[in-house]
Amino acid sequence: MRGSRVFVFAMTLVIVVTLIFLSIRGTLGPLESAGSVPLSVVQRLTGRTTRGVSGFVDDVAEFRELRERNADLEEALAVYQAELAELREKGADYDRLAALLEYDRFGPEDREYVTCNVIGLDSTGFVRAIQLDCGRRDGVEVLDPVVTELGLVGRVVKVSATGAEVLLLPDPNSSINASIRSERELTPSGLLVPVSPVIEPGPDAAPGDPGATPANPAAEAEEPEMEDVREDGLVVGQFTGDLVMSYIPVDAVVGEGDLVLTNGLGQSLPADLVVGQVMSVSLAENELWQQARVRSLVDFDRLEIVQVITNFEPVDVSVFEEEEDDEAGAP
Amino acid sequence: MQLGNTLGIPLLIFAAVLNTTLMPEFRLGNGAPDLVFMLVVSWALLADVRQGLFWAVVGGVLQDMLSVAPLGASALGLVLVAYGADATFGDVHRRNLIIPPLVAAVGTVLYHISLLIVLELDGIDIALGQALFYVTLPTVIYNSVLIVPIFRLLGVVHLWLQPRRVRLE
Repeated sequence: MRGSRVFVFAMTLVIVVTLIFLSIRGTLGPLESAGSVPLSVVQRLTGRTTRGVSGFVDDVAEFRELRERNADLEEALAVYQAELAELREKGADYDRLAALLEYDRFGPEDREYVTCNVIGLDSTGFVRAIQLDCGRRDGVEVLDPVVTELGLVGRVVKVSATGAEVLLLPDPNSSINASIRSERELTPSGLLVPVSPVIEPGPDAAPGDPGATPANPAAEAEEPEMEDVREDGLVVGQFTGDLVMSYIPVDAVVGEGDLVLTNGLGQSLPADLVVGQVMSVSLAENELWQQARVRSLVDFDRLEIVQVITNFEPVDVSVFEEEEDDEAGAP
Repeated sequence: MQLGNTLGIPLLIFAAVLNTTLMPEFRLGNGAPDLVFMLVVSWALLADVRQGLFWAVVGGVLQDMLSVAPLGASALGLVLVAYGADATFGDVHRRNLIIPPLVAAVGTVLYHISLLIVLELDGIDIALGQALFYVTLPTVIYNSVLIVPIFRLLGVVHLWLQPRRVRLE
Protein backbone atom coordinates (compact mmCIF):
# COMPACT_ATOMS: atom_id res chain seq x y z
CA MET A 1 0.00 0.00 0.00
CA ARG A 2 2.75 2.42 1.05
CA GLY A 3 4.81 1.46 -2.01
CA SER A 4 1.84 2.25 -4.24
CA ARG A 5 1.45 5.71 -2.68
CA VAL A 6 5.12 6.50 -3.20
CA PHE A 7 4.87 5.28 -6.79
CA VAL A 8 1.86 7.55 -7.51
CA PHE A 9 3.70 10.48 -5.91
CA ALA A 10 6.87 9.80 -7.91
CA MET A 11 4.92 9.55 -11.19
CA THR A 12 3.07 12.79 -10.45
CA LEU A 13 6.37 14.52 -9.72
CA VAL A 14 7.84 13.28 -13.00
CA ILE A 15 4.82 14.61 -14.92
CA VAL A 16 4.96 18.00 -13.20
CA VAL A 17 8.73 18.41 -13.64
CA THR A 18 8.38 17.49 -17.34
CA LEU A 19 5.65 20.13 -17.68
CA ILE A 20 7.90 22.77 -16.12
CA PHE A 21 10.84 21.80 -18.34
CA LEU A 22 8.74 21.90 -21.53
CA SER A 23 7.07 25.15 -20.51
CA ILE A 24 10.40 26.90 -19.80
CA ARG A 25 11.66 25.70 -23.20
CA GLY A 26 8.52 27.17 -24.80
CA THR A 27 7.29 23.86 -26.24
CA LEU A 28 3.92 24.15 -24.48
CA GLY A 29 3.17 27.64 -25.83
CA PRO A 30 0.26 26.61 -28.10
CA LEU A 31 -1.23 24.37 -25.39
CA GLU A 32 -1.03 27.13 -22.76
CA SER A 33 -2.51 29.59 -25.23
CA ALA A 34 -5.43 27.27 -26.07
CA GLY A 35 -6.06 26.47 -22.40
CA SER A 36 -6.14 30.09 -21.34
CA VAL A 37 -8.90 31.02 -23.84
CA PRO A 38 -11.85 29.47 -21.91
CA LEU A 39 -10.29 30.58 -18.63
CA SER A 40 -10.12 34.18 -19.78
CA VAL A 41 -13.86 34.08 -20.62
CA VAL A 42 -14.71 32.97 -17.07
CA GLN A 43 -12.19 35.45 -15.74
CA ARG A 44 -13.75 38.31 -17.69
CA LEU A 45 -17.21 37.57 -16.30
CA THR A 46 -16.00 37.17 -12.72
CA GLY A 47 -13.73 40.21 -12.98
CA ARG A 48 -16.55 42.43 -14.16
CA THR A 49 -18.77 41.44 -11.23
CA THR A 50 -15.95 41.75 -8.71
CA ARG A 51 -14.90 45.15 -9.99
CA GLY A 52 -18.47 46.44 -9.90
CA VAL A 53 -19.02 45.40 -6.29
CA SER A 54 -15.58 46.45 -5.11
CA GLY A 55 -15.81 49.79 -6.93
CA PHE A 56 -19.13 50.58 -5.26
CA VAL A 57 -17.81 49.67 -1.80
CA ASP A 58 -14.67 51.76 -2.38
CA ASP A 59 -16.67 54.75 -3.59
CA VAL A 60 -18.87 54.74 -0.52
CA ALA A 61 -15.91 54.28 1.82
CA GLU A 62 -13.74 56.88 0.16
CA PHE A 63 -16.34 59.56 -0.59
CA ARG A 64 -14.77 62.17 1.69
CA GLU A 65 -11.28 61.40 0.48
CA LEU A 66 -12.47 61.60 -3.12
CA ARG A 67 -13.86 65.10 -2.56
CA GLU A 68 -10.55 66.30 -1.14
CA ARG A 69 -8.67 64.60 -3.93
CA ASN A 70 -10.95 66.20 -6.48
CA ALA A 71 -10.11 69.63 -5.09
CA ASP A 72 -6.38 68.82 -5.23
CA LEU A 73 -6.69 67.57 -8.78
CA GLU A 74 -8.58 70.69 -9.88
CA GLU A 75 -5.75 72.78 -8.45
CA ALA A 76 -3.14 70.62 -10.19
CA LEU A 77 -5.12 70.80 -13.43
CA ALA A 78 -4.91 74.57 -13.37
CA VAL A 79 -1.14 74.35 -13.09
CA TYR A 80 -0.81 71.74 -15.81
CA GLN A 81 -3.06 73.60 -18.23
CA ALA A 82 -0.71 76.55 -18.00
CA GLU A 83 2.20 74.21 -18.70
CA LEU A 84 0.28 72.59 -21.54
CA ALA A 85 -0.20 75.89 -23.33
CA GLU A 86 3.55 76.51 -23.12
CA LEU A 87 4.39 72.97 -24.22
CA ARG A 88 2.03 73.21 -27.19
CA GLU A 89 3.98 76.20 -28.41
CA LYS A 90 7.22 74.32 -27.96
CA GLY A 91 5.70 71.29 -29.72
CA ALA A 92 4.77 73.38 -32.71
CA ASP A 93 8.34 74.73 -32.85
CA TYR A 94 9.66 71.21 -32.56
CA ASP A 95 7.46 69.93 -35.40
CA ARG A 96 8.65 72.72 -37.63
CA LEU A 97 12.30 72.04 -36.83
CA ALA A 98 11.86 68.26 -37.13
CA ALA A 99 10.25 68.73 -40.54
CA LEU A 100 13.20 70.87 -41.58
CA LEU A 101 15.61 68.15 -40.51
CA GLU A 102 13.35 65.38 -41.86
CA TYR A 103 13.88 63.71 -38.51
CA ASP A 104 12.10 60.36 -38.52
CA ARG A 105 10.93 59.69 -35.00
CA PHE A 106 8.26 57.48 -33.46
CA GLY A 107 6.09 60.20 -31.95
CA PRO A 108 2.76 60.07 -30.09
CA GLU A 109 0.84 60.77 -33.31
CA ASP A 110 2.35 57.65 -34.92
CA ARG A 111 1.18 55.29 -32.21
CA GLU A 112 -1.59 52.77 -32.79
CA TYR A 113 -3.49 51.72 -29.71
CA VAL A 114 -5.69 48.79 -28.79
CA THR A 115 -7.94 49.38 -25.78
CA CYS A 116 -8.17 46.40 -23.44
CA ASN A 117 -9.96 45.53 -20.21
CA VAL A 118 -8.01 44.30 -17.21
CA ILE A 119 -9.50 40.95 -16.28
CA GLY A 120 -7.22 39.76 -13.51
CA LEU A 121 -4.00 39.96 -11.55
CA ASP A 122 -1.17 37.47 -11.48
CA SER A 123 -2.02 34.75 -8.98
CA THR A 124 1.50 34.01 -7.69
CA GLY A 125 1.80 37.23 -5.67
CA PHE A 126 5.53 37.29 -6.37
CA VAL A 127 5.12 38.95 -9.75
CA ARG A 128 3.20 42.20 -10.21
CA ALA A 129 1.34 41.55 -13.44
CA ILE A 130 -2.14 42.03 -14.86
CA GLN A 131 -4.12 40.04 -17.41
CA LEU A 132 -5.86 41.66 -20.36
CA ASP A 133 -8.71 40.50 -22.58
CA CYS A 134 -6.75 41.40 -25.76
CA GLY A 135 -4.41 39.00 -27.43
CA ARG A 136 -2.68 38.14 -30.68
CA ARG A 137 -5.99 38.42 -32.54
CA ASP A 138 -6.11 42.11 -31.61
CA GLY A 139 -2.54 42.70 -32.73
CA VAL A 140 -0.94 42.49 -29.30
CA GLU A 141 2.57 41.04 -29.22
CA VAL A 142 5.14 40.30 -26.52
CA LEU A 143 7.07 43.45 -25.38
CA ASP A 144 4.35 45.86 -26.56
CA PRO A 145 4.18 48.89 -24.22
CA VAL A 146 0.99 49.31 -22.18
CA VAL A 147 -0.22 52.75 -21.09
CA THR A 148 -3.15 54.66 -19.62
CA GLU A 149 -3.95 58.36 -19.91
CA LEU A 150 -1.84 58.83 -16.75
CA GLY A 151 1.29 57.20 -18.10
CA LEU A 152 3.22 53.98 -18.63
CA VAL A 153 1.79 50.83 -17.06
CA GLY A 154 4.21 48.12 -18.19
CA ARG A 155 5.07 45.74 -21.00
CA VAL A 156 3.40 42.62 -22.40
CA VAL A 157 5.32 39.50 -21.35
CA LYS A 158 2.98 36.70 -22.36
CA VAL A 159 0.34 36.61 -25.08
CA SER A 160 -2.28 34.11 -26.21
CA ALA A 161 -4.88 34.36 -28.96
CA THR A 162 -7.36 36.23 -26.77
CA GLY A 163 -5.40 37.36 -23.73
CA ALA A 164 -2.15 38.89 -22.60
CA GLU A 165 -0.16 39.24 -19.41
CA VAL A 166 1.52 42.56 -18.62
CA LEU A 167 4.47 42.97 -16.27
CA LEU A 168 3.75 46.16 -14.30
CA LEU A 169 6.28 48.93 -13.71
CA PRO A 170 6.48 48.34 -9.92
CA ASP A 171 7.59 44.71 -10.38
CA PRO A 172 11.23 44.25 -9.28
CA ASN A 173 11.96 42.58 -12.65
CA SER A 174 10.83 45.66 -14.54
CA SER A 175 13.55 48.16 -15.40
CA ILE A 176 13.26 50.96 -17.94
CA ASN A 177 15.50 53.73 -19.20
CA ALA A 178 14.06 57.10 -18.27
CA SER A 179 14.95 60.76 -17.94
CA ILE A 180 14.08 63.39 -15.41
CA ARG A 181 12.91 66.49 -17.25
CA SER A 182 12.69 69.83 -15.56
CA GLU A 183 13.28 73.50 -15.95
CA ARG A 184 15.99 75.12 -13.88
CA GLU A 185 16.73 78.74 -13.13
CA LEU A 186 20.25 79.70 -14.11
CA THR A 187 21.80 81.94 -11.42
CA PRO A 188 24.41 84.58 -12.34
CA SER A 189 27.12 82.26 -10.97
CA GLY A 190 26.05 79.57 -13.44
CA LEU A 191 24.38 77.33 -10.84
CA LEU A 192 21.09 75.63 -11.65
CA VAL A 193 18.33 76.20 -9.11
CA PRO A 194 15.08 74.19 -9.07
CA VAL A 195 11.95 76.15 -9.88
CA SER A 196 9.08 75.80 -7.44
CA PRO A 197 6.34 73.82 -9.21
CA VAL A 198 3.58 75.69 -7.34
CA ILE A 199 1.81 78.46 -9.28
CA GLU A 200 -0.66 80.56 -7.38
CA PRO A 201 -3.37 81.94 -9.67
CA GLY A 202 -4.15 85.64 -9.45
CA PRO A 203 -7.43 86.90 -7.97
CA ASP A 204 -9.27 87.15 -11.30
CA ALA A 205 -7.69 84.18 -13.03
CA ALA A 206 -9.89 81.23 -13.91
CA PRO A 207 -8.53 77.69 -13.22
CA GLY A 208 -6.12 76.75 -15.95
CA ASP A 209 -5.79 80.27 -17.28
CA PRO A 210 -2.29 80.44 -18.72
CA GLY A 211 -2.29 84.16 -18.00
CA ALA A 212 -2.63 83.67 -14.26
CA THR A 213 -0.67 86.19 -12.21
CA PRO A 214 2.64 84.72 -10.98
CA ALA A 215 3.14 84.45 -7.21
CA ASN A 216 5.88 87.06 -7.28
CA PRO A 217 5.29 89.84 -9.85
CA ALA A 218 8.83 91.11 -9.29
CA ALA A 219 10.18 87.80 -10.54
CA GLU A 220 8.27 88.24 -13.80
CA ALA A 221 9.78 91.65 -14.28
CA GLU A 222 13.29 90.23 -13.98
CA GLU A 223 12.60 87.20 -16.28
CA PRO A 224 15.35 84.88 -15.00
CA GLU A 225 17.21 82.77 -17.52
CA MET A 226 15.77 79.24 -17.62
CA GLU A 227 17.40 76.06 -18.82
CA ASP A 228 15.78 72.72 -19.67
CA VAL A 229 17.49 69.92 -17.79
CA ARG A 230 17.48 66.24 -18.69
CA GLU A 231 19.07 63.60 -16.47
CA ASP A 232 19.05 59.95 -17.55
CA GLY A 233 18.71 56.99 -15.23
CA LEU A 234 17.18 53.57 -14.76
CA VAL A 235 13.74 53.15 -13.16
CA VAL A 236 13.36 49.83 -11.34
CA GLY A 237 10.29 48.52 -9.50
CA GLN A 238 10.46 47.56 -5.84
CA PHE A 239 8.70 44.84 -3.89
CA THR A 240 7.01 47.53 -1.82
CA GLY A 241 5.32 48.86 -4.98
CA ASP A 242 7.55 51.94 -5.22
CA LEU A 243 9.64 52.98 -8.22
CA VAL A 244 13.29 53.92 -7.74
CA MET A 245 15.34 55.74 -10.35
CA SER A 246 19.06 54.97 -10.04
CA TYR A 247 22.28 56.06 -11.79
CA ILE A 248 21.39 59.77 -11.73
CA PRO A 249 24.69 61.70 -11.87
CA VAL A 250 25.88 63.01 -8.51
CA ASP A 251 26.06 66.60 -9.77
CA ALA A 252 22.55 66.55 -11.28
CA VAL A 253 20.09 69.04 -9.78
CA VAL A 254 16.90 67.06 -9.25
CA GLY A 255 13.94 68.38 -7.34
CA GLU A 256 10.69 67.08 -5.90
CA GLY A 257 7.90 67.14 -8.49
CA ASP A 258 10.17 66.81 -11.53
CA LEU A 259 8.62 64.75 -14.30
CA VAL A 260 10.10 61.35 -15.23
CA LEU A 261 9.63 60.24 -18.85
CA THR A 262 10.91 57.30 -20.88
CA ASN A 263 13.90 58.35 -22.96
CA GLY A 264 13.78 55.72 -25.68
CA LEU A 265 17.33 54.53 -24.96
CA GLY A 266 17.80 50.89 -25.91
CA GLN A 267 14.71 51.21 -28.11
CA SER A 268 12.76 48.96 -25.75
CA LEU A 269 10.03 51.58 -25.18
CA PRO A 270 8.92 54.68 -27.11
CA ALA A 271 10.33 57.96 -25.81
CA ASP A 272 8.31 60.50 -23.80
CA LEU A 273 5.86 58.19 -22.05
CA VAL A 274 5.12 59.52 -18.57
CA VAL A 275 6.57 57.30 -15.82
CA GLY A 276 5.83 59.51 -12.82
CA GLN A 277 7.07 62.34 -10.66
CA VAL A 278 10.10 62.57 -8.36
CA MET A 279 9.11 62.36 -4.70
CA SER A 280 12.52 62.48 -3.04
CA VAL A 281 16.19 62.28 -3.96
CA SER A 282 19.09 60.78 -2.03
CA LEU A 283 22.67 59.72 -2.59
CA ALA A 284 23.12 56.01 -3.33
CA GLU A 285 24.90 53.88 -0.72
CA ASN A 286 28.10 53.79 -2.78
CA GLU A 287 27.85 57.58 -3.27
CA LEU A 288 28.63 57.20 -6.97
CA TRP A 289 25.20 58.33 -8.14
CA GLN A 290 21.92 59.69 -6.85
CA GLN A 291 18.68 57.81 -6.65
CA ALA A 292 15.16 59.18 -6.67
CA ARG A 293 11.89 57.74 -5.42
CA VAL A 294 9.36 58.13 -8.22
CA ARG A 295 5.61 58.12 -7.80
CA SER A 296 3.60 56.96 -10.76
CA LEU A 297 0.27 58.67 -11.31
CA VAL A 298 -1.17 55.29 -12.26
CA ASP A 299 -2.92 53.35 -9.48
CA PHE A 300 -1.65 49.87 -10.34
CA ASP A 301 -4.07 48.16 -7.95
CA ARG A 302 -7.13 49.72 -9.56
CA LEU A 303 -6.45 49.37 -13.28
CA GLU A 304 -9.56 48.67 -15.31
CA ILE A 305 -8.87 49.81 -18.86
CA VAL A 306 -5.47 50.14 -20.51
CA GLN A 307 -4.13 50.74 -24.00
CA VAL A 308 -1.52 48.64 -25.75
CA ILE A 309 0.72 50.36 -28.31
CA THR A 310 0.70 47.76 -31.06
CA ASN A 311 2.90 49.30 -33.74
CA PHE A 312 6.03 49.96 -31.70
CA GLU A 313 8.80 47.58 -32.66
CA PRO A 314 11.40 47.16 -29.94
CA VAL A 315 14.95 46.42 -31.07
CA ASP A 316 15.93 42.83 -30.36
CA VAL A 317 19.29 43.10 -28.56
CA SER A 318 19.42 39.42 -27.63
CA VAL A 319 21.66 38.78 -30.66
CA PHE A 320 24.32 41.07 -29.20
CA GLU A 321 23.97 39.45 -25.79
CA GLU A 322 24.56 36.01 -27.33
CA GLU A 323 27.63 37.32 -29.13
CA GLU A 324 28.94 38.75 -25.85
CA ASP A 325 28.39 35.39 -24.16
CA ASP A 326 30.25 33.63 -26.96
CA GLU A 327 33.16 36.03 -26.67
CA ALA A 328 33.25 35.61 -22.91
CA GLY A 329 33.21 31.83 -23.26
CA ALA A 330 35.92 31.77 -25.92
CA PRO A 331 39.35 30.66 -24.69
CA MET B 1 -12.89 9.06 -12.76
CA GLN B 2 -13.72 9.27 -9.07
CA LEU B 3 -16.56 11.57 -8.02
CA GLY B 4 -14.20 13.67 -5.91
CA ASN B 5 -12.03 14.37 -8.93
CA THR B 6 -15.03 15.22 -11.12
CA LEU B 7 -16.20 17.71 -8.55
CA GLY B 8 -12.70 19.09 -8.13
CA ILE B 9 -12.22 20.35 -11.68
CA PRO B 10 -15.02 22.98 -11.82
CA LEU B 11 -14.36 23.93 -8.20
CA LEU B 12 -10.67 24.49 -8.89
CA ILE B 13 -11.38 26.44 -12.10
CA PHE B 14 -13.65 28.77 -10.15
CA ALA B 15 -11.11 29.09 -7.34
CA ALA B 16 -8.25 29.82 -9.77
CA VAL B 17 -10.28 32.56 -11.44
CA LEU B 18 -11.27 34.04 -8.06
CA ASN B 19 -7.58 34.03 -7.09
CA THR B 20 -6.91 36.48 -9.91
CA THR B 21 -10.05 38.60 -9.62
CA LEU B 22 -11.56 38.70 -6.13
CA MET B 23 -8.69 37.70 -3.84
CA PRO B 24 -6.35 40.60 -4.78
CA GLU B 25 -8.98 42.92 -3.27
CA PHE B 26 -8.01 41.54 0.15
CA ARG B 27 -4.30 42.00 -0.37
CA LEU B 28 -2.14 42.59 2.69
CA GLY B 29 1.31 43.63 1.47
CA ASN B 30 1.49 41.55 -1.68
CA GLY B 31 -0.11 38.48 -0.12
CA ALA B 32 -3.71 37.39 -0.51
CA PRO B 33 -5.79 34.33 0.40
CA ASP B 34 -4.97 31.44 -1.94
CA LEU B 35 -8.22 29.56 -2.55
CA VAL B 36 -6.68 26.88 -4.77
CA PHE B 37 -4.04 26.10 -2.15
CA MET B 38 -6.63 25.83 0.64
CA LEU B 39 -8.89 23.57 -1.45
CA VAL B 40 -6.02 21.28 -2.41
CA VAL B 41 -4.67 21.00 1.15
CA SER B 42 -8.15 20.40 2.58
CA TRP B 43 -8.94 17.67 0.07
CA ALA B 44 -5.52 16.06 0.57
CA LEU B 45 -6.25 15.82 4.31
CA LEU B 46 -9.77 14.47 3.77
CA ALA B 47 -9.42 12.12 0.80
CA ASP B 48 -6.84 9.54 -0.26
CA VAL B 49 -3.45 10.48 -1.69
CA ARG B 50 -4.44 9.88 -5.34
CA GLN B 51 -7.27 12.39 -5.16
CA GLY B 52 -5.10 14.86 -3.26
CA LEU B 53 -2.40 14.69 -5.93
CA PHE B 54 -4.97 14.97 -8.74
CA TRP B 55 -6.40 18.15 -7.22
CA ALA B 56 -2.85 19.48 -6.73
CA VAL B 57 -1.91 18.98 -10.39
CA VAL B 58 -5.18 20.37 -11.79
CA GLY B 59 -5.21 23.33 -9.39
CA GLY B 60 -1.55 24.11 -10.01
CA VAL B 61 -1.83 23.98 -13.80
CA LEU B 62 -4.89 26.26 -13.70
CA GLN B 63 -3.01 28.74 -11.48
CA ASP B 64 -0.06 28.74 -13.88
CA MET B 65 -2.28 29.37 -16.89
CA LEU B 66 -3.34 32.60 -15.18
CA SER B 67 0.13 33.77 -14.22
CA VAL B 68 3.56 34.47 -15.69
CA ALA B 69 4.93 31.33 -14.05
CA PRO B 70 5.79 28.39 -16.33
CA LEU B 71 3.20 25.60 -16.53
CA GLY B 72 3.67 23.21 -13.62
CA ALA B 73 5.40 25.72 -11.30
CA SER B 74 2.48 25.95 -8.87
CA ALA B 75 1.58 22.29 -9.43
CA LEU B 76 5.01 21.20 -8.16
CA GLY B 77 4.60 23.04 -4.85
CA LEU B 78 1.02 21.86 -4.41
CA VAL B 79 1.97 18.24 -5.14
CA LEU B 80 4.75 18.37 -2.53
CA VAL B 81 2.45 19.91 0.09
CA ALA B 82 -0.46 17.56 -0.68
CA TYR B 83 1.73 14.47 -0.44
CA GLY B 84 3.54 15.78 2.65
CA ALA B 85 0.22 16.47 4.40
CA ASP B 86 -1.17 13.04 3.51
CA ALA B 87 2.03 11.22 4.48
CA THR B 88 2.33 13.06 7.82
CA PHE B 89 -1.27 13.11 9.02
CA GLY B 90 -3.14 10.61 6.83
CA ASP B 91 -6.92 11.10 6.75
CA VAL B 92 -7.93 13.85 9.16
CA HIS B 93 -11.37 14.03 10.74
CA ARG B 94 -13.54 16.73 9.21
CA ARG B 95 -14.08 18.44 12.58
CA ASN B 96 -10.37 18.76 13.34
CA LEU B 97 -9.45 22.40 14.01
CA ILE B 98 -5.72 22.07 14.63
CA ILE B 99 -4.14 20.12 11.79
CA PRO B 100 -5.58 22.07 8.80
CA PRO B 101 -4.29 25.50 9.98
CA LEU B 102 -0.95 23.92 10.88
CA VAL B 103 -0.60 22.31 7.44
CA ALA B 104 -1.76 25.54 5.77
CA ALA B 105 0.90 27.59 7.59
CA VAL B 106 3.84 25.24 6.97
CA GLY B 107 2.54 24.27 3.52
CA THR B 108 2.24 27.90 2.33
CA VAL B 109 5.92 28.49 3.16
CA LEU B 110 7.01 25.29 1.37
CA TYR B 111 4.74 26.03 -1.60
CA HIS B 112 6.10 29.56 -1.98
CA ILE B 113 9.73 28.45 -1.67
CA SER B 114 9.20 25.83 -4.38
CA LEU B 115 7.45 28.42 -6.58
CA LEU B 116 10.31 30.89 -6.06
CA ILE B 117 12.86 28.26 -7.09
CA VAL B 118 10.98 27.52 -10.34
CA LEU B 119 10.53 31.25 -11.08
CA GLU B 120 14.28 31.73 -10.52
CA LEU B 121 15.00 28.87 -12.95
CA ASP B 122 12.73 30.61 -15.46
CA GLY B 123 14.85 33.77 -15.16
CA ILE B 124 12.46 35.75 -12.94
CA ASP B 125 14.71 37.14 -10.23
CA ILE B 126 12.99 37.71 -6.88
CA ALA B 127 14.60 38.84 -3.60
CA LEU B 128 13.92 35.96 -1.21
CA GLY B 129 13.75 37.96 2.03
CA GLN B 130 11.36 40.56 0.66
CA ALA B 131 9.23 37.91 -1.06
CA LEU B 132 8.84 35.95 2.17
CA PHE B 133 8.02 39.10 4.15
CA TYR B 134 5.67 40.85 1.73
CA VAL B 135 3.98 37.85 0.09
CA THR B 136 4.43 34.67 2.12
CA LEU B 137 3.82 36.04 5.62
CA PRO B 138 0.44 37.65 4.84
CA THR B 139 -0.59 34.62 2.80
CA VAL B 140 0.30 32.31 5.72
CA ILE B 141 -1.94 34.36 8.01
CA TYR B 142 -4.84 34.35 5.55
CA ASN B 143 -4.54 30.67 4.62
CA SER B 144 -4.23 29.47 8.24
CA VAL B 145 -7.40 31.28 9.23
CA LEU B 146 -9.54 30.73 6.14
CA ILE B 147 -8.71 27.05 5.76
CA VAL B 148 -10.90 26.28 8.81
CA PRO B 149 -14.29 27.04 7.16
CA ILE B 150 -13.09 25.64 3.80
CA PHE B 151 -11.97 22.39 5.46
CA ARG B 152 -15.28 22.09 7.30
CA LEU B 153 -17.22 22.70 4.10
CA LEU B 154 -15.21 20.19 2.09
CA GLY B 155 -15.56 17.78 5.02
CA VAL B 156 -19.32 17.79 4.49
CA VAL B 157 -18.86 17.32 0.73
CA HIS B 158 -16.43 14.45 1.35
CA LEU B 159 -18.87 12.76 3.72
CA TRP B 160 -21.61 13.15 1.11
CA LEU B 161 -19.44 11.70 -1.66
CA GLN B 162 -17.80 8.93 0.35
CA PRO B 163 -19.97 7.95 3.33
CA ARG B 164 -18.17 5.88 5.97
CA ARG B 165 -18.97 2.18 6.15
CA VAL B 166 -20.84 1.14 9.30
CA ARG B 167 -21.16 -2.46 10.44
CA LEU B 168 -24.56 -3.43 11.87
CA GLU B 169 -24.48 -6.18 14.48
